[in-house]
Amino acid sequence: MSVIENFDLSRSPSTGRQAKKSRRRVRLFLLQSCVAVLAVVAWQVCSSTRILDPTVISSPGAVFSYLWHAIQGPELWTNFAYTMAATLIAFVIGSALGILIGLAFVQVPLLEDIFDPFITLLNSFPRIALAPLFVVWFGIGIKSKVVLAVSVIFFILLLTTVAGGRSVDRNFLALCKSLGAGTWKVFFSVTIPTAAPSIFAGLKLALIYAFLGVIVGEMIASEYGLGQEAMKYSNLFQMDRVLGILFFLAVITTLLAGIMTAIERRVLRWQRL
Amino acid sequence: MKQTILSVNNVSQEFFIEEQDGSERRVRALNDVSFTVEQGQFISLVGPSGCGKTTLLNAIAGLAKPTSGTIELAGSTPAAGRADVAYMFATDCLLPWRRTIENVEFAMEVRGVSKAARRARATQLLEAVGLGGFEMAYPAQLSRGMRQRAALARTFALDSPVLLMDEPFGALDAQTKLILEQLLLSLWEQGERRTVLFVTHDLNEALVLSDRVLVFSRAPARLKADHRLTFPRPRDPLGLQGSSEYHDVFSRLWADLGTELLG
Repeated sequence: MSVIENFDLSRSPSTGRQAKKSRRRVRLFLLQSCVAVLAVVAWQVCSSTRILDPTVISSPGAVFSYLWHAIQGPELWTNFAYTMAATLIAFVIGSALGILIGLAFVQVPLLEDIFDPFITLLNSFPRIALAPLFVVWFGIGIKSKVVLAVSVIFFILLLTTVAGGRSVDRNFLALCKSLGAGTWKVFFSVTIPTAAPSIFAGLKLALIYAFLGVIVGEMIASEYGLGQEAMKYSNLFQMDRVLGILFFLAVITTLLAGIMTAIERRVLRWQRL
Repeated sequence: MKQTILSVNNVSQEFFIEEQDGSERRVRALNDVSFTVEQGQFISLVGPSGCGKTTLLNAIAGLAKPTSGTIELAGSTPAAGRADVAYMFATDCLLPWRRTIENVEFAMEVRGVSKAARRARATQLLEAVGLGGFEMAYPAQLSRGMRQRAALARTFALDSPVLLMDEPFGALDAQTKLILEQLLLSLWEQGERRTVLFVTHDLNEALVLSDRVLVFSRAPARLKADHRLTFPRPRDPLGLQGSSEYHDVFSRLWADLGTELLG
C-alpha cells in the first residue's frame, strides 16, 4: 500500500467544482429549512385561529411541549427501548435470512425454481392483517412484533439479493473460467460484489419496514413500546402526545437511515465514481 | 527447429440456432481447420468479422469443445483454466469494485500466487504498461485505453507460456491502438518469448505484430492462407508501416482477405 498512499485523483482539477457543489448544498439546505418553518407556522396558525379543530390536529406548540417534558422522563425512553430492541432484532434476523437464502437461490438455481411459487404466495399475504394472528401465536411480548417485522423484511432482502446476484456480467464469468477460478472464488469475488448495491438498497428499505412492522405489532397488542403508547393516547384523544411520539419515531428512523447511507457510501465507494 | 506447442487437426465446430418456429438450425463455424504452431511465435488469426476466429480461439482455450477434430496444446487436450494458458478478452473485464492494482492481482490470486509476490509483480507490470501512479484508481476513473493497459498487465502478470488474445484492441481508436500494439510488442519481446495467438480482423495490426498470419475465409472458416513474415525484431509498428516491404506483404494478404470480404 505504501507506494500509492499519496495518490489522489480527485485533488487539483476538481477543487473548484467541489466548492461550487458545497455552495449549492448550503443554498438547498436554506430553502429546505424555509419549507419546514413555513409548514410549522401554517399548522400553528390554523390551530390557534381554530380554522382547524385543535382537539383533532393539536398544534406544534403542544406537540413540542409534550416532547420536551417526555424526553426528560423515563416513560418515553423505556418504551422507546422496547420498540428499538424489537426493530433491531427483527432487522438483523430478517435481513440475514433474506440475504442468506437469496444467495443460496443465486448459487443453486434449482432451489429458486422449487421455492419460487411458494415465496410469491407467502409474499402476497397481507402481513399487516396477520398481526392479530401473530399476537395469538406468539403472545403480547417482543416475539409477536419481531415475527411481524421479520415476515415483511425477509422478502424485501430475498428479492433484492436474488435480483442483484443474477445480474453478474457474463464477461467476468468468462474471465474467471479462463483463469480456472472455482465456484466459491467466483461467488466471493464476483457474485457478492455484484449483488452488494442491490442488497444495500434492500437493507435501507428493510430498516424502515422493520419500524413499521414493530409499531403496527405494538398497536395491535403489546405490553410496552411506542406503538402501544401512541395507540393508548389516540384512544384518550391526546393528539399532542400521539403526534409527538410519531414525530420522535420519524426522527429516529431518519437518523438510522442516514447511518445506513453512510455505511453504504463507504462500502460501495467504487459505485460513485 | 523449434518445438511444436500447438497442433490443430481437422477441427470443425457446429452450433445449433433456434429458429422462430422452435426448430433448430445447424450452423457451421469452423470447417476442417488444421495447422501447427511453434513455440515462442506470435501468430495472428485474421478473417472477416464473424467468420469463426473467436470460436477457434475458444476451442484452443478449452472454453468450447470442437464438434470434430482434435487439438493438442503442449502435449494435452485443451481445458479451461489451465495454468499454462492466459486469455485476454476484447472487453477489459476489469472488476469495477477493485482498484487497478487489485484487478491486476486478480488473475494471480486465482492462480494461487502469494500475496506479497503478486503485489510486487502487479506494481512492476503497471509501471511497465505506463500506469504507474494509477494503482489505487478504480476502473471507472480510467480511460478506455488505460483500462486495456491494465488488462494487458493482468494478462502478462501470469507466467503462462501461451497467450490467447481475442481482439484485445478492437474497441480502441486508431492512435490508442497503435500505442498499445507497441506496448504489447515491448512486453512480449523482453524476456522469454511466449507463444501468442492473436485474433483480429485488422490486417495492419496482424502484420506489425506477428511472425505468421493465418488468413481465414468467411464463415464457416477454412484456413485460406498461411503467411510467414520476416520483418526484423524488435519491431517499431509505426516505422514498419512506412516501409515498402510492408506494403508488398500487405497487398498480398489483402488479395487473400479482400476476396473473402467482397465475396
